[in-house]
Amino acid sequence: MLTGVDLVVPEGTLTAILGSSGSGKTTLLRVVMGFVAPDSGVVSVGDRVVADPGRIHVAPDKRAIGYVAQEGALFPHLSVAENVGFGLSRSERRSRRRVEEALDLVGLERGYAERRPQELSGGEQRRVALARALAPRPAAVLLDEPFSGLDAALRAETRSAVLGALAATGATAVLVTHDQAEALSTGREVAVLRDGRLVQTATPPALYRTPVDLDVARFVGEAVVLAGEARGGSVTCVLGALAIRGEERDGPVQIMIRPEQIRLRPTGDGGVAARVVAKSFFGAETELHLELLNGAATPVVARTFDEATVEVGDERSIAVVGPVTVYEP
Amino acid sequence: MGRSGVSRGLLAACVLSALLVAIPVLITIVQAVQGGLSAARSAVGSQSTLTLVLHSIEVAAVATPICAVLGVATAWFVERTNLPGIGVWAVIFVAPLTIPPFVTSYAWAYFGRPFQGFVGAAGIIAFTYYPIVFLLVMVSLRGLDPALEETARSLGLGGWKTFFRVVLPQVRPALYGGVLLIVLDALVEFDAFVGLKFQTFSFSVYAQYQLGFSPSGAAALSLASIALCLVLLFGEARLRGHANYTRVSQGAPRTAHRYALGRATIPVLIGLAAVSAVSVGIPVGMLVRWFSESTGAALSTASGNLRYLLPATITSIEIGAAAAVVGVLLALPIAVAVVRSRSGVVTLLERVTYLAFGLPDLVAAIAIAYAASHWLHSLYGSFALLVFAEGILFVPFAVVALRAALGQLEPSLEESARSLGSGGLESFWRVTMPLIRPGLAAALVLVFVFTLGDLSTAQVLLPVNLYTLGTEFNANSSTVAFTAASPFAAVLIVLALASAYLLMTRFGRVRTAGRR
Repeated sequence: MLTGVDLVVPEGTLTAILGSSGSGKTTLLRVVMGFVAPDSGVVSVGDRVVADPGRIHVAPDKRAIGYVAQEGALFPHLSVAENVGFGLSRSERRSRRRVEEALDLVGLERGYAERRPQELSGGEQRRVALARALAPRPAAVLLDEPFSGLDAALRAETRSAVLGALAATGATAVLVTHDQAEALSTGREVAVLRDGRLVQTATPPALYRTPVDLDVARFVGEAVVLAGEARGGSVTCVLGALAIRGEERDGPVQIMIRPEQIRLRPTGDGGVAARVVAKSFFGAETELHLELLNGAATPVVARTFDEATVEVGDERSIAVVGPVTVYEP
Repeated sequence: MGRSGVSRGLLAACVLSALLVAIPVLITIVQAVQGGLSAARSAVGSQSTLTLVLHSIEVAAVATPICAVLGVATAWFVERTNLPGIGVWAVIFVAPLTIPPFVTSYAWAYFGRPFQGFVGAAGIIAFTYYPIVFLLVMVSLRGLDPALEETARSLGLGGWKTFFRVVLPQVRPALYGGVLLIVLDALVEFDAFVGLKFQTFSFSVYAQYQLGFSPSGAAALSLASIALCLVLLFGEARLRGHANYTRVSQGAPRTAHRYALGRATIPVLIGLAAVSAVSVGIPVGMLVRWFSESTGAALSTASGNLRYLLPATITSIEIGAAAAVVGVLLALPIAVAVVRSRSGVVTLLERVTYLAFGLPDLVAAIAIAYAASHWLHSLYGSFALLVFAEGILFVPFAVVALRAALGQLEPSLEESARSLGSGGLESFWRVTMPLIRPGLAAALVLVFVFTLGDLSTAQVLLPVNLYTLGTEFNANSSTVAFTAASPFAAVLIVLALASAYLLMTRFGRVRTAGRR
């Protein structure tokens, strides 16, 4: 199911693995954990090889990799303190010091120690699960969709608590998610998994601006795609002549523009004339669907922070800001 | 995928379990082969054998559908409606399974000739064994995502249609599992017919021993039953396919909506009362009657028997408890493996545990006695041998009960334990065991009550100086002095009802909140 997955997670950093459902991200995580043995390929933690088919298969419990399961998977028969202390030695469990440290790390008060998992909110459960994973000081931590199913406010709060704890311990972490915003905002690097293949690993800005292909471009964010003719460092299309990011090229190309690069101006102020055909309000920003008046059938999407100034049917002039990314047609 | 695989150690434990459980089957095969073809032909080919085999098949064919309907209906009422007195009803629905079948048998026979024939035989099987379906389907219903039914309703399906098109297909694996156990049991049942004048397949096996003392003839007959058993086992496995016993929904489990019975309450109560009157009322009622209608002479025999009551009770409980531990220990690795993996090897090993159960009890017991007398003479006639025989016989029930509980656990719990540095066994011990404790208790109780109610095995393997509630009951009731047998039956029924309560409250349950 997984092929050609070549991923290096630098020590002390968080890498987000981004993939849609069925892309193989859970399988990848389970291979690293040791719940599933790979048919080929090598998994190593630091200098230590933990999976090398036919030669080495280190059991999950001997890998020293922490794991935060999707819903937290707190042991329902144990208190919060007993959950957090689960992976510790008997003496460490008894002294309670490490348990308290771990709870502090994730920003939970000591009063939580004696509670039962059932008495915790979803966000608190995830935090306890992380505290439990971090308590034995693992070499790395894997988090499987750690914020899924939480409402927006709780999500933000849990996210900052989890990222804070990971940063404070300097843990090497891998976070698996299907949410591109979550991947881009949490990972130092983001690895995109598609059909069991790792198609791109890059820093969030690089991934967003120069995705390897149009599918990745559309997966990590909204994209306006136009046909154009490249010549040297620029490309000509229905939106005019635009600067190309990266190396120069010649011939027909596909152009990828992010909606926030497309700016509206009063009509006649240069640029290309367009009419607003639909408007979706998202709160902070508003998405506008535009139709070009020069007859080109290409749909164009733009974003604005100024909802009140545009209405459906309005005509505006549009211009593209910053360089665009081009692909072979 | 999704669940962690079966480790080599676990697989080894499963193989060991399956081998131990298969001992009587293997020996029976050896005996049949030793007897040669002619002995086999004379035993299998006789006209009377064929008639008796047909009797068994007829009983199974009539009783099993009744079990399915009664089991599903009672489970649905308990799990999904606002039936008044649900807790009490649930225990009453389980109770017939825990009452020893030989007690039920004599109670039915008491009604006179019509009940001593086919009607009695099919009736006893139907009303004694439907609780197997009840328990399994109840657990399955409990695990159903209520959103499925709600969606069906939103798509315009009425209550009945929703039941048949959404609910029933989901509980089908549980239903098949229960039906399989009932069919296997009905085909080889002997104890439940002891009070009747109706002869079945097991009787012909019994006759082979009694009349000609021909173990090879009996073994040859049993091969036929093993063959039939194999067909059923793999048929059921095919039917069930990859369906899961208990699907675990993600996130917090939502309690399903209970249907208000409304105007149907009274008719439903009457119907359920009628079912209970047959299933529990007959054995318990008869017992009361035996006490009340007894003559002075019978009473003096009964009071004379009282001094045997305590030793018999202690022996029965000891055998039952020890057999429960043996049965559950053998069942544990298999249940864990089956929940984790659907590989062919695991399925095969699980199916093997049913084979011994598919033998007539008497044949299994004699096979074990034969093995001990030939190879382990020190065990021959010992308490340990009897306990072993009872334990392996009821492994399939223990597996079913353990599976019902294990299936409720999220695999991520044990995986989290593994990621925290606990090995496979340690994770099982620290996480799984505490969580499945109620289900474990249910498995123990099941093997315990079946052992209490198993007469055939005890009659063959009971050490000479010991007697149990069952053997004493049987010894006294065969002289038709029911009053003399009634003290033993009374203790058996008290134990049965207590077990029914334990079963009902624990079967297929896991701990969700810890004790403080």
